[in-house]
Amino acid sequence: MDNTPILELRNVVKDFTTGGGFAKSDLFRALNDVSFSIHKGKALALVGESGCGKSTCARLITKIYEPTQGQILFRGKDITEIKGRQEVLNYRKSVQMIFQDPFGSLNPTHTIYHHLARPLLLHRMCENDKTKLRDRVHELLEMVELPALTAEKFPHELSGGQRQRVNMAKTLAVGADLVLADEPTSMLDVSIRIGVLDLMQRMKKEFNLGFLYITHDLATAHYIAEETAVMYKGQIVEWGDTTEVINNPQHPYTRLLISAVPDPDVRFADVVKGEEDYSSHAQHIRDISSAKVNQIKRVNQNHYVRLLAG
Amino acid sequence: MNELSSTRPLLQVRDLEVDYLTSDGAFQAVKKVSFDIAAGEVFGLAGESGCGKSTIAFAVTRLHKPPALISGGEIIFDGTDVVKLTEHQLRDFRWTQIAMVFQSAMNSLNPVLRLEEQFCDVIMTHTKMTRVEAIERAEQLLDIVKIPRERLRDYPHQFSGGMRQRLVIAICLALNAKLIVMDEPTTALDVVVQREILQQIYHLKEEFGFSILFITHDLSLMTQFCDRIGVMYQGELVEVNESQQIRHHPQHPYTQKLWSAFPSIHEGRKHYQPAGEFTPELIQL
Repeated sequence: MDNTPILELRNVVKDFTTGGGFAKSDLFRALNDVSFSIHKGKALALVGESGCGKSTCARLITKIYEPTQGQILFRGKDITEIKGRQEVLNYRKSVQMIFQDPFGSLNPTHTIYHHLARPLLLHRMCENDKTKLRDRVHELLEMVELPALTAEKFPHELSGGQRQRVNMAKTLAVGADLVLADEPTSMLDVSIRIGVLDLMQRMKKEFNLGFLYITHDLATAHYIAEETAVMYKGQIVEWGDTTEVINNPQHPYTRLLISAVPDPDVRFADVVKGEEDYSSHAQHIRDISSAKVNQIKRVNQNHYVRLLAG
Repeated sequence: MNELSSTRPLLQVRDLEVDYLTSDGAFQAVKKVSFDIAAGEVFGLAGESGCGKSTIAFAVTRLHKPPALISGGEIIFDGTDVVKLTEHQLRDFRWTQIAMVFQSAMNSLNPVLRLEEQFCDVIMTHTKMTRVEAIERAEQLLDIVKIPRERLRDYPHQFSGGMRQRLVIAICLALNAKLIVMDEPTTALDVVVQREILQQIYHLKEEFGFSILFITHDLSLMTQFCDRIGVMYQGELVEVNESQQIRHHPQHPYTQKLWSAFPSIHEGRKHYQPAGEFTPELIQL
């Protein structure tokens, strides 16, 4: 396996302008010094609370926004240099997204066949021939463990999990290299969540796809991703091998996050005893973790932590 | 809590059946469900969406609306059958006896009214308090959920999601309800805020002694928080037991399946020996 990552973010900064018009315009730093890389057949989990900037990362990668500073490299090439219709089309083909809402991401007026045949045609992945298209669509459905019959159905006839599988089939249809999955399981029922995660595992291994798994749920991140990056207020505060980050967290925010994940083996009464003034403790950690700092410490082979300001 | 189980439970649900009337006939969403909640107890209902757990929550407070219909069974709350209450009696019953925190409760505040109005509305409708007294009570309630008193003059959008959730809980406490129904009270919040709110609920429960009917799909959280758990599957209560029993000796195959559906991050942590003890100074500039 060659060692250049499919995608690499180097010290990316993203500022948004707020206000403007008659109001005072102000800069809001949504991302500060964000660096990570995603390799073939591997998943990187980007974990953080809502509003921490994890979805902004996905938007930068899909070229919806341009970074203010820093570089985003796709197979070693800066994506801001990807211009021209064909080049952009190729890039969009290679980098696909799966969204949180499986109900909103499929067109309710079209069958599943349409949803899978269309990307095949648009990206010229298949000849415009009825039988060939149909065969390919059935093949794709089989890959995501759905019966061929599904092709004739409309989105409203499918469950959330099945719809998310259709979305995955779409990414396979165009032969994506990198999938940006933004909370793909958070709207699914717990009992089918695992199935969708397992499918992602399989896609990773069988098709050698790279995944950016964006989530607020450490438990599923732990299940699917080899590497985890914990994000808070636009900064990655700690990252590295998932087991390292979860079992040996260094940053107070990571520790806070992990300790807040419910542990069924500890009674709440005992939890409460150990945490007299939880809210102010949590607030203190939020405060000290908010400052923008660019110094990083290496904890282990592949485990880094951002330093705290003073 | 155990000594209370010998006396009459606060809530007794007996053979409850709730139907949804559809054009294809009645769909039974809740099938002969029976459970008890003792005074001061936290009882959890677990299950996936569509299993009927929220329907039960609505039925217990008689807040279900057509096409939902209670077609059978009894809901005995503190000696009275809730199913037989008239609309007028229900007005007195809700809030004073049972209060409810809904799923995405943060959206259940009225966006165009100041909080003050919303507190006064609940308090003055149900008690003989004057407006001045009601505001005084509202201020006490804000103290309880640790939100500054002066924010009573603010509108809901000026609060964060977690704070709005706490405000709804504060309103629930306004009339000293004996049972609070919490339907996915923390689902839309991140884990840290979730823990903050649950800590607060826990302390309030210890202080005021109300019972909780706690509904969530997160079995880990439920096991931690509840005394007893009922697991629902397709409208039926398939297993009821103490939460530790549900955790360690789940009997029903569906309960076992639910457990295997949760990747736990704590398993590995317990066997892991970190290289060195954590000292925050190490990572300070």
